[in-house]
Amino acid sequence: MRLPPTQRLILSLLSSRGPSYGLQLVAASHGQLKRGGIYVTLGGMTQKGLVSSEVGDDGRRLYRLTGLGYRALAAMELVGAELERGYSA
Amino acid sequence: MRPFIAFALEAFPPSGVRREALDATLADWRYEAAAASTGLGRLAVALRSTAAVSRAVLALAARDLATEWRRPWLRRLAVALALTFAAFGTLGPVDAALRIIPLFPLIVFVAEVTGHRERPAVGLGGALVLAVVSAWLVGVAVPELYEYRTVLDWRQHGRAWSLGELYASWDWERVMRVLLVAMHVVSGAALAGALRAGPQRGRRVLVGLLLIVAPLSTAFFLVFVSIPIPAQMFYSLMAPWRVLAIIPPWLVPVLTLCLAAHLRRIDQR
Repeated sequence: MRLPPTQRLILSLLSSRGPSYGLQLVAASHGQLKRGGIYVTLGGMTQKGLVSSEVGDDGRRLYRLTGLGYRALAAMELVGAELERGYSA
Repeated sequence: MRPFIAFALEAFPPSGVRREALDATLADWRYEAAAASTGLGRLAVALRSTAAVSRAVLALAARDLATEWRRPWLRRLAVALALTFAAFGTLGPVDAALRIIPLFPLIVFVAEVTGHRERPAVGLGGALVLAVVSAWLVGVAVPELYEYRTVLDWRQHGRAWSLGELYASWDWERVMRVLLVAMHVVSGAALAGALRAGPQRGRRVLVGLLLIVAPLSTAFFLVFVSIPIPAQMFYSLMAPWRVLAIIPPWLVPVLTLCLAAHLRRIDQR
């Protein structure tokens, strides 16, 4: 499964921060994620099964990583580490 | 501003993930507006959130458009439009075309409603394209059409009018026929799309509404345009009615979208 950079960033943020609202992810991304656009991306990730969400009392959605999301993130980190090792060798 | 935008967004065809993205963006707006303590803060939230909603709609539309052209309703619309342009662009007098064209919303509507139920409704991208084309036609074509009809009547009554020279060319008449056809076909498609996206109960109400309004529009053309009366009285008495005769096909999709949104809101409660 190929993931665009924005989706990889969201996976990393959700992994490090735990369950988060969209606005919290936008704030934590330091400008890399945009309001409005992030929910379109999160919607695509939900369809892929990488994240799940639940609606709170105030109508806001709380997003969290799924098992598949954790595995995808781990695979990306493993590939990144292997590439870095190969590059430095 | 938020209630208005929320109401307008409700009229868009619903689809699970897309609906969630729009709802989540609006929920953020509500949350931040409630947290803002000053008027200036609320204004900043409104501006930021309006930009966020616009970005969400554009992103969803761009995603939809990539696959929208494959939908059956769009192919049928394109074929119908091409055939109609070919027929009215080359055959028959203008007045004959004017009397037939108001039937188009009804024809397109019946074709859509009698189609397969499981066929997907118009997507967000398609709806946006229809809305943009509709807005352009309403802003540009309707005033031109009204003026064109006026000039035609002056010519029929043997009056000289300087603008008549401009509109007398054969090329211009052909352009106006195409615009007339496009107005009605696009409005019919927008209406059909809105109907298919609406709830089942709403459809029944809107079917009744359309079956009343579409023949009325046709009746205006068939009856009032044909009445031979002195030109001055005709313009003073009939002009408002003739404007109505052009506008109803456009009012129907707008009313339909508002009504569909209203019914959907009732269903959600």
